[in-house]
Amino acid sequence: MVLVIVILSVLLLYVLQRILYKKFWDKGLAIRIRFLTHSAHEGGSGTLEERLENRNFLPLPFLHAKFECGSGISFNSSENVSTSDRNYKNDIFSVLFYQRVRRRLDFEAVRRGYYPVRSADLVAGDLFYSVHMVKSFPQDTEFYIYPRLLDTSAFDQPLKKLIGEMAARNFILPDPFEFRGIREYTISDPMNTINWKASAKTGDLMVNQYNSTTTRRIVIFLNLEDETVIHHGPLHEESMRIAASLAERLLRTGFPVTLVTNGRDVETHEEFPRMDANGVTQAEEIFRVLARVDLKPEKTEFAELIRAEMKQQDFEQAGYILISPSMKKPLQEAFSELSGFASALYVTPLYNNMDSRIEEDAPFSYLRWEVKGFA
Amino acid sequence: MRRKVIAVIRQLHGAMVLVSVLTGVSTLLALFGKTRETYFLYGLLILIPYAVSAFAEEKTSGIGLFLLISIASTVPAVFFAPDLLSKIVFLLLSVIIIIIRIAGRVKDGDTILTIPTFATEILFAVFYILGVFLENSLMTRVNYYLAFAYVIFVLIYMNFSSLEAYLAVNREVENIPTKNIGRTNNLMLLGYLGLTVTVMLVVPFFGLDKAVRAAGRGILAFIRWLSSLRGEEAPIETVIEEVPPQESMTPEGGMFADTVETPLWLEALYHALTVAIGFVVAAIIIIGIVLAIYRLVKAFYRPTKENSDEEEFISDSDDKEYVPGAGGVFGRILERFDPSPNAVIRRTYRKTIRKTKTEVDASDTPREIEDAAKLPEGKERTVLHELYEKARYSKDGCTQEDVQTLRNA
Repeated sequence: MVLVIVILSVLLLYVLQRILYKKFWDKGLAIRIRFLTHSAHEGGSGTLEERLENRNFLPLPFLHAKFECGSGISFNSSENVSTSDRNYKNDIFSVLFYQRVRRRLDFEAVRRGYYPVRSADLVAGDLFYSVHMVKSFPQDTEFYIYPRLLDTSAFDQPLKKLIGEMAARNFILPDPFEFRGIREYTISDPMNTINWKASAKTGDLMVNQYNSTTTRRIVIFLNLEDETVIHHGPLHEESMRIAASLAERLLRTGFPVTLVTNGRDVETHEEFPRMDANGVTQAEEIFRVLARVDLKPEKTEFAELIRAEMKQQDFEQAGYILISPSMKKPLQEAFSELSGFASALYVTPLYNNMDSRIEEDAPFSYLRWEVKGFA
Repeated sequence: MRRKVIAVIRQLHGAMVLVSVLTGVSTLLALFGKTRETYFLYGLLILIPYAVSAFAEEKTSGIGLFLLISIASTVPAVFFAPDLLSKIVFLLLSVIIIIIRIAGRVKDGDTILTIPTFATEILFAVFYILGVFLENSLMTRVNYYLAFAYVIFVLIYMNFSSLEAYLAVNREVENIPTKNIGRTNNLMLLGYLGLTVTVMLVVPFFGLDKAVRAAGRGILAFIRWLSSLRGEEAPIETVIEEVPPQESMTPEGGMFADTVETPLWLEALYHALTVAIGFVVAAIIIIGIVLAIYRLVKAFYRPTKENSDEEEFISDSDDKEYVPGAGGVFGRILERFDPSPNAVIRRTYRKTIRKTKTEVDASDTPREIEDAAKLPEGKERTVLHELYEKARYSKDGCTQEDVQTLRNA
């Protein structure tokens, strides 16, 4: 009888250890995933850190950390990654009691986009690997892959012409140093432009905007509409690269830039508002907007946005660059109308075998940008 | 190392099953000839064909050579068997072993002789219970020790084979900390085995078996009372039988009583062998566990460097990634023994403040705490203050040199 009782006690102990692990394995367990850098351009790289803490007396011989993120991030160690439309990462750790383990993983920024990591799962087992326990931990980290910056030397002449035309127009029009409006404060704004009354009313710092002696604002129109039912993703991606490269170049050379696009935010699905940038430090804001563009949803007709821009105060004093693979007639008509008042450049990213259908007698400047590939 | 242990346990499993079966076989043989201990000791020779056939199964490629070697190995068991019946029985057992081995060759190694499971304990328990019923000390004692040892072996086997299967599945995973997994697994297994052995040693002293027997007797009495209600009670007859002295039973009587007395030398050899084997096994297990724990403890603070992971031990006072509600009493206990420089400096700071019996608020800064504790201004206070702030707030933390500086101050 003693032997039977001993055997039963051992069985009970086995069951107890299973219950102990099932109940207490996640007490004091935490995982934090974060990107050490927040952004990179296409073709760049970044580092992801996984930090596990076990503030518990139960050691965990194996612990799987699983999370997913977009497939535009390519981890250098591809064995732990299952890639389909998303990257499913699976890393294995082993933690003793009251131990912290930190692991850093390098990755390549392959494709433009916004890559948040919102949750991570931890999977562990008991001493005999007979039962698996899973728990989700919310995460809050994100990585932006900006469009790649291109060589914009092909734009030297068109930009020169555009800026030259702007200067000529501004000379004709009366252009005092005058109050133009109020916007939110950014770090590059001088303190003496802060409008304290408006700031008190809104609760955020607000600054006055003035027309400079020569208003050299450049508006970049980024049209992501498809002309037909065929979706030309690579052409739109190239459009965004052109927009990012031009914005960076113009801001660096002292031109304030405004971005107007009919792209929609990948998370909110809302159209982006008109965005002003002043100074090269704000190029990051434009890059961030471009990274968050989702090409899938329906887009607003861009001709409407052009006409809306024509209702802006002093719109004639700005220069306009329209980047659009689409060459729809209404779009060309709206842009032609705009170019009757202001300097304008139409840029069309096209494949080699695509025809350009820009009207020959169009009043705006035109640049065809060749993209590798076929329609 | 793990694979070797698994292989050894697989072979030990078969040997222990055979020894257990041998206790039953020798009891049956004892009906027709010598003592059961004699047959048992001679029967241990069938472990030779068991071991040799295992070796031949692994090393030979042709079935002919395997059979030749295996059959040859049965010679000692058959030759030394004390009588014809036992020769036949031992030969039969050896043949069964060889047939099972052949089946193992076909099925790539997995047979009842090589798969340790917890269910094998049932076999030992059955023979043990039979031994209790038959008042057979050989069956009870041998199967008790076999069951005891087998629990340890099967737990180790279950753990190691599961771990090997897990590592095989995840073999291709980059950065898998194989050594760390093995180290943590061994630590947990040792702790669990220690607890299991303690339970197995302590449970017999609880008197649970007496309680179970008492409960069984109570249930039987209740059933008899119920049945007595249904019919008349049978008259109780007292039978007195005089037993002539020459027909008195031997002390270990029962259904299968010995007809021949065990030779003294054999009994002495049997007892000596049992004690010696038990002593050696217990010593190996104890020394092995102590050595393994010592090596694991020594290895705790030495990272394995098999990948680029950064590992560090933390305490509840380390609030960089503090999880509220974690640790509790155990966290505070562990913190007392944390030898890291940060923990040493923070413990020293807390002791210094506690000595002044000052009440401290969690939101107070170190400067406010020191002012409230009225620590005298001077070099000691400055060193303590700066090192505490470094231990608590800096990214890299303190070093051993900082601890020495504090001690010097």
